Amino acid sequence: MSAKGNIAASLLLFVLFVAYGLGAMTIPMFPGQELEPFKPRTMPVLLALTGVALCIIRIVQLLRAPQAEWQPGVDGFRWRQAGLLCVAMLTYGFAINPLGFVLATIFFLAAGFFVLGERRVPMLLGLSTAFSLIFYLLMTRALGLYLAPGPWWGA
Amino acid sequence: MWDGIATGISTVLIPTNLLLVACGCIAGTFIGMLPGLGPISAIALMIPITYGFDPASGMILMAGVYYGAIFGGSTSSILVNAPGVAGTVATSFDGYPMAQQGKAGKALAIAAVASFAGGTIAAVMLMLAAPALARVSLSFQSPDYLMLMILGLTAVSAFASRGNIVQALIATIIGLMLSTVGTDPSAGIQRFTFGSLDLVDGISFLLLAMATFALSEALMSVLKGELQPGSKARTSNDQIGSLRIEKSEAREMVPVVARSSVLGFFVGVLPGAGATVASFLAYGMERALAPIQEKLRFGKGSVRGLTAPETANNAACTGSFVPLLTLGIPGSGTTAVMLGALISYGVQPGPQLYQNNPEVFWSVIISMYIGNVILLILNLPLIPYIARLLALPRQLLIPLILFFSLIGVYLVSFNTFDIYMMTAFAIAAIFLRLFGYPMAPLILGFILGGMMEDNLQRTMTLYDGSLSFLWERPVSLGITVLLVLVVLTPVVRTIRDSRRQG
Repeated sequence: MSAKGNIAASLLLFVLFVAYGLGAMTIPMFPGQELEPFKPRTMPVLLALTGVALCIIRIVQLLRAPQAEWQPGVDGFRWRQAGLLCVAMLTYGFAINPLGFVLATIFFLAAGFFVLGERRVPMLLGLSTAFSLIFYLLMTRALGLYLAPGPWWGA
Repeated sequence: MWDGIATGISTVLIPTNLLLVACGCIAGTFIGMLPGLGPISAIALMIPITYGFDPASGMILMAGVYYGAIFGGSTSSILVNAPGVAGTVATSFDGYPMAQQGKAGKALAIAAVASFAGGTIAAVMLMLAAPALARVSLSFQSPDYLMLMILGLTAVSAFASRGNIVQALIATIIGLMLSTVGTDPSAGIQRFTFGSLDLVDGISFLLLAMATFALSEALMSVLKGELQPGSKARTSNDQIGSLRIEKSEAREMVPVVARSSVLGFFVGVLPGAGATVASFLAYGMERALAPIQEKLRFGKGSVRGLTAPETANNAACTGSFVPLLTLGIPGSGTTAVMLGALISYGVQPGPQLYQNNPEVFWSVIISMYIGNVILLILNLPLIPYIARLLALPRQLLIPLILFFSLIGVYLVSFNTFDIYMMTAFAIAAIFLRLFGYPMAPLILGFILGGMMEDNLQRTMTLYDGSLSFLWERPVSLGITVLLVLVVLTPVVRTIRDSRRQG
């Protein structure tokens, strides 16, 4: 990561700790609780203060460190593939109830295989279908767990 | 103690439990072989499967997975010079050169025997040390526990930081912060839930463990382009060779095993140190003790160089169970995940575990013996076949790992919000890793957060908000002195290094 990137990450964490601390100050209390030695906001406030102090130390460390101490870059990273897998995971979350477990899992696995470079249709559809069905039957029949089959199943 | 051992043996020797240890060892070996996926991911992936089990069976499976994962890491270190876990990096120093000389089978056999011996000696030490420590820890009070947890978190940060303790401490604070989400246990007030009903019960430990380890490690391997299993895996598998260890080699191994087991066990007991530190220390110690002729062979296929780290990392794994079982405080990321699993089974580790759930306490210890035996008699002959899995196409394996991680969490809650939250945490974990923030302190902070707050509350109430417990209670004072040493050592080292450079 570049020096600027490292400092930006530390600043982002600094903002996170400040926001958390401000949130901690708004935690409601029962009447009279403010006089007690320990309140629901005690630990969060302590954590926010420690986090802010550590972030400041980290930023000072980065500013004082010679260029060579900064970590190597991320050239050649496959951001697109990783991003698409994240999208596939989110879509799986959205699809699992309306489509049902079996169809949603087939789509998710096939999409995952495709994103990572698999182009053979028997692998893309065959493996994902076989895997989803076996897993579904194992969970529902063998272990007795309920998995939403979806509107297509047994209709 | 003998009653406990008998209870443990009878629990472990139930056929179902024996089968679980065997399955755990094989599954762990497979997962441990995959570069990037270590014992934490392996155990996290097993938790949803064990939800329906009784606590003893669940822990028996996990102990098998733990040992299997460490052994699997050694296998990939030896065969393809790609350590699956950090604890087996030192194994590759001499294991891989041996494999290149056509002695991969011998290297694997030495690793298996050394692991078995280290694990067994350490299990005996654990059996003697754990009950004694459990009795001592019954005298601990809330302030002592609070300071012990702070020491554990700081020590783990110091060791996990790879040079920058500040970053590891920041990760710990993030973990502690995440543990405060949900309903405050003392007053029943909602904190940081943003009005969402899904967050009222807090963030699930399993969700966070899966997202920060299994998911983010799988996604990191995609990011880095580690999708090709590589031709090295195939060629090495074809040239495993004989598994036979010569008598002279066995004689050479004996003293190394004895020294490294003791060293590994004590390093494992220390919070944070764990298998990685133990394996490097044992390697360094053996190199220092070796005669000049032998010293020159280190790094070129030395039997001593391979035996030392393998013995020490297994002994350290066993040692790391001491603080978990006796104090209820995990000393490493892996035992932190196990603590989370125990809590989810309704078992509270700590001094009371020894008295209230002796079958869990002793069956975990006995399952370590059984796990080691199974690794030796089952895994070793199967290694040539299990190693073929290294050649599995990653474009098929990674989506399956993602699926198992997501569905493992979903099957517990049946709430799709957990899938979104896991994805978000995995993305955040990737960014933190890219900037050098370690994940083990984060998960440890998250798991200890609730207990820390509970003990902080009791301490503050007992001492009316005063910090006098720090010098009034001898145990707390002793732990505080240790804490100051743990924090100051890297700071002093940094200042000394910068002065030397200046």
